[in-house]
Amino acid sequence: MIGVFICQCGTNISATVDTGKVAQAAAAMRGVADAESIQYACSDPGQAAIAAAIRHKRLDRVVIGACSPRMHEATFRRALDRAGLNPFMLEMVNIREHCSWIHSDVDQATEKAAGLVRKGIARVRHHLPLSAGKTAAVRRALVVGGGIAGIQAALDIAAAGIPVTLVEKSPTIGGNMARLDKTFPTLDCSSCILTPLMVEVKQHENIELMVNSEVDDVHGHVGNFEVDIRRKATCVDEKKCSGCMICQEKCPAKAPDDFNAGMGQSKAISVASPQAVPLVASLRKEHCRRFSGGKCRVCQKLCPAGAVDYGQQDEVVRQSFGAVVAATGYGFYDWTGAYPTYGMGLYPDVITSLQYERLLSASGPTGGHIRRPSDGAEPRQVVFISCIGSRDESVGRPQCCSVGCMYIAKQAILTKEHIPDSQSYIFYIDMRAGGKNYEEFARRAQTRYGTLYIRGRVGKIFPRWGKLVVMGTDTLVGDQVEIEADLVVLATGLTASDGAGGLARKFNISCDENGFMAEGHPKLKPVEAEAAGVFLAGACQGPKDIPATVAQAGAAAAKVIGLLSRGELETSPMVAAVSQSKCSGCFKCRDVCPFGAIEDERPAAGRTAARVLASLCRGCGICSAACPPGVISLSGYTDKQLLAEVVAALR
Amino acid sequence: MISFPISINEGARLLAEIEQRSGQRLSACYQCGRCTSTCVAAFAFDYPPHRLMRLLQVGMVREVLASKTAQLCLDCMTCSMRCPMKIDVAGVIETAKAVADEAGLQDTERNVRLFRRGFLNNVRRHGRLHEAGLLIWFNFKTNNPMNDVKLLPLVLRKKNFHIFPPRIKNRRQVRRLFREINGSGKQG
Amino acid sequence: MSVYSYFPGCSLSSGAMEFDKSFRLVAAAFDIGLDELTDWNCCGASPAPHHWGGDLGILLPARNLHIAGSSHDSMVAPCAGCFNRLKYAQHELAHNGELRRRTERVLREPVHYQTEVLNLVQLLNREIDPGDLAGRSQGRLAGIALGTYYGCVLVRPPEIVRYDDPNNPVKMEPLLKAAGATIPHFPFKTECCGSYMGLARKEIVLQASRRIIEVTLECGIDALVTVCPLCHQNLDLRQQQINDAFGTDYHLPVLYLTQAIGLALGFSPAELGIEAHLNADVGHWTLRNDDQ
Repeated sequence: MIGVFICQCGTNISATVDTGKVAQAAAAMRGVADAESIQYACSDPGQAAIAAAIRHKRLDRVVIGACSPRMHEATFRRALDRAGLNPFMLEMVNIREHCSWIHSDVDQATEKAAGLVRKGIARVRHHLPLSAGKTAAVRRALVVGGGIAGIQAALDIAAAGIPVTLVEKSPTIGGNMARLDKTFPTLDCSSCILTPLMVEVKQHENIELMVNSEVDDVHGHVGNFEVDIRRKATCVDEKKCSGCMICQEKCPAKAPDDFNAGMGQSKAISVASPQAVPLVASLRKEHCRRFSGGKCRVCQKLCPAGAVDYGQQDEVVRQSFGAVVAATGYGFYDWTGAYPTYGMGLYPDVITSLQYERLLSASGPTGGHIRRPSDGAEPRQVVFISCIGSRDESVGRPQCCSVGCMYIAKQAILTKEHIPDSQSYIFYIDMRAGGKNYEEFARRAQTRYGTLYIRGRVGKIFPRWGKLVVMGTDTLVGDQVEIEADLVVLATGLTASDGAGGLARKFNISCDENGFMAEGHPKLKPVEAEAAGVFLAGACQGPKDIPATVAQAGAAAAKVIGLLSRGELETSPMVAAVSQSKCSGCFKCRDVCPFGAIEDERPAAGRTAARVLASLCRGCGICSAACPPGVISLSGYTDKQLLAEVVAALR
Repeated sequence: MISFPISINEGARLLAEIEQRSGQRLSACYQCGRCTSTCVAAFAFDYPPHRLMRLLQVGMVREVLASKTAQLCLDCMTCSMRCPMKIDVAGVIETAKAVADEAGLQDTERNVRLFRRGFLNNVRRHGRLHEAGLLIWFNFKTNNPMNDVKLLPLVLRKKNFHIFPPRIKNRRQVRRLFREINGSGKQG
Repeated sequence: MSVYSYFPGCSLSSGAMEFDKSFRLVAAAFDIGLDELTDWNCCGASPAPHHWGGDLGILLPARNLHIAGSSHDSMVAPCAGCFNRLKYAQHELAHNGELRRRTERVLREPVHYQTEVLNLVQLLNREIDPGDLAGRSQGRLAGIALGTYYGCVLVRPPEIVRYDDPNNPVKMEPLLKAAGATIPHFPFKTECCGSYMGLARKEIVLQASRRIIEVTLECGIDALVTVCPLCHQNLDLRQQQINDAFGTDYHLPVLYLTQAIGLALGFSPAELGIEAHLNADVGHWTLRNDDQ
């Protein structure tokens, strides 16, 4: 006894598909006891109507013509369950995404929808009751990335009593936020609000912190990810180093200062910053004299803790996790190659906004005094240019960075506070100040701090007698403008961080065209990755500011806690099964299985046959298609079901 | 409805023609002004490039066709190279000028158009350009006999400088080239 | 010896005859054969594509392409403007059947348009080994800072000319470095000089060219190097007009690429026609290095 319910989805379906007609056509089919059109099948009254029909008409299987099963299959399975039917006696037919949304001719769309439903009915006749299995979940979470997103997620998960491993590739946690001076729109000191959280991570009994570490390899699936983590050799024993920085003081080899975004210089062996967590030195071999053939051993000789070990090797540790949070953050667009007319990085006084943050910061190379790089002079005329590598299709980057307008306003305000007789100019195109108190903040940059906003893009920057000539346009005046600047700050856009793509591949996270990780659903699954058990936090999912990052990190943590607090996970019953008596033992299935879910077994003496490990099987069906004698069958997708569907489609 | 001193319908028709002939998406322009920022001739234009783009977007096509900008654009393509939306701005201006020429809507920068015509007629006559002849003709036509005359002694230091017109042999073929474009090639 | 069909164009045969002169000297020095096109015509220059619908801008150079293509596989057009027009014509003849038919109606035979069109920088980079040039250089450019000024038509539009970076071209640099000169960063290498407006709208040229000269001097550059006769006219010949108009006192030599290379090879400024320039004051370069 089959029940067929055709959802109108408001007008989403009914505007293009005559749902009444589709129901009528279905009613005429063999075995169909009830067929009706429902306004919103997923709504409370909709589900009640389906449950009532199941009870009153003694339905034993149900076809629902509605949206994609990705949207509401789980909803309707629960509805069947509540009505006393096995939840897997459901067949969903997608007549919205696959039909009404993509067609405009009502008659043709209706005919197509009826055909799709006919297929569903043919298929559901062969459905069998299935029941979900259970599998134990490892009660430990992995957080990849130690910026504010990873820190927040790790702390929230740990607070629920679930152990966390936080993996960070650089020598300190804190990420980009640790390099910022103040934050908009409140001008909170970034370090002051971040550093306590960094320390808490270090001290938390439920958090294992691994810096200088990266994810090497991943096996397994939700509930049981087996992850190889590579701890990169830094030539310093983390347990012995006390962070006294004597090595850094005495090291004779200069090296670029990564933490200060290239402003100022560091040493080959160094502590990333005075606020680093952990406060431990690390050695960069590519800059070290000893590793470029010299005999220098200054750091080893002088280290009071004996922590320097030139022979240290990378170490790979394997850990199991029930769930994963990707929090790999963002990078800044490298403008130098793409904007030749801005000097390609040849003018020392054309810097990026991150570099300017370091000039503003008290922990930066100038001790918080704004000094321009070329001659150390205090700039009076500062020009900010927005949208560098943003909203610019000519360099292949159409997207808005979403934070540039605000951080420039902040930097203009701070410039005035540092140098009261300075004048800041901001070249902007459209002001985007959508957050809470953002518009007021940007307004203040103009009214109270005298920043001159010029609507237009800059065409060229060139040096003239120790100044930089900025050639732009004021589109509101409608004419060219030229400013002689002491310092030019480029508001570079946000990119996916280096290595995010590689990590995404390891965890089966898909990425969008800009390299950011894709969420499960743009509205309803903003923190879930497509892969089960993997969650996204912060700017790895798309450019966002600190409040939005913290909120998303908290949400990801809540999802992890929800997942792991149950202790065990339901597994899908739609897995492959081998009819062992007919198995020839060729193990083609084992070769093609992407999940390592097939093992050999000796059901009888002298004979080996394949066996599916249901806990590892993801129900992809490749083995079933590859099996030469055709003795592997996938529950829910048996040959009978598929053939019935095909026959119905061809009728 | 925005109302400008131009028939909206006519504006839409000319606009569609410019869009189609130039192959450019005018609607993509978001008025950042980068085209104008480094335009070396913008000071002599009535509409700098970004405003010309905006005029087209709102259908003020007649203003564009009759503009100094259309006549004075040097086609150096700096604007096209720098447009963040990859619009060939110079191509749009050039198309507008061609449409204006066909519709007889240009009514400004007479001297510039005169120069172009004189240059080409000079080439039609000799097959090659006779620089001295063009200078004298242009100065006579514009009633400005001393224009660039001070430069003459300088160029005369160049021994090859043609005081008399250089003439190619197959001038007949060159004239046929001129006849091939729009009949006689005498208009404009 | 490779032999190229040589299209001098109107400028090199008249107002920019020193470009032709120096080109022939350098070509001979490096064993590059030049075979001048017979009975070539004007390429149409800047006015043709902007007047009478613009088709003359294709038809005029098409005739030259045809003449060159009838006898040679490769042609060289040292004038950046001519090069640009020839490349345009080549592109249009290949993609626009209607224009090709009209061209053939005039020529009364199938048009040859597929001959390879080279600009001067391309030709010299192909034919001159920088090591060879450096070895033969007489050190006259040592310590001389040259600004490479490409102008606009040599590199734009990139999809037509298919040559070098349209925003930051660099192909002249290796030749001049091999010749011994230093090449400082010069941010105005593709800024427009004002093009053909010199007679009809002089102030556009004077304004645009003044800016280029101003920035050149601020970059500590001793002379500009170009391959465009129109740029040369605006920057050199009109330099006095610029000084008169803006009260400046510029004396910036502007050289053709082949003149700069010729100087390095030891030819005298007179042999290279530099003395015909308004700003011909490069004599002391030689002296300075002879002193050493």
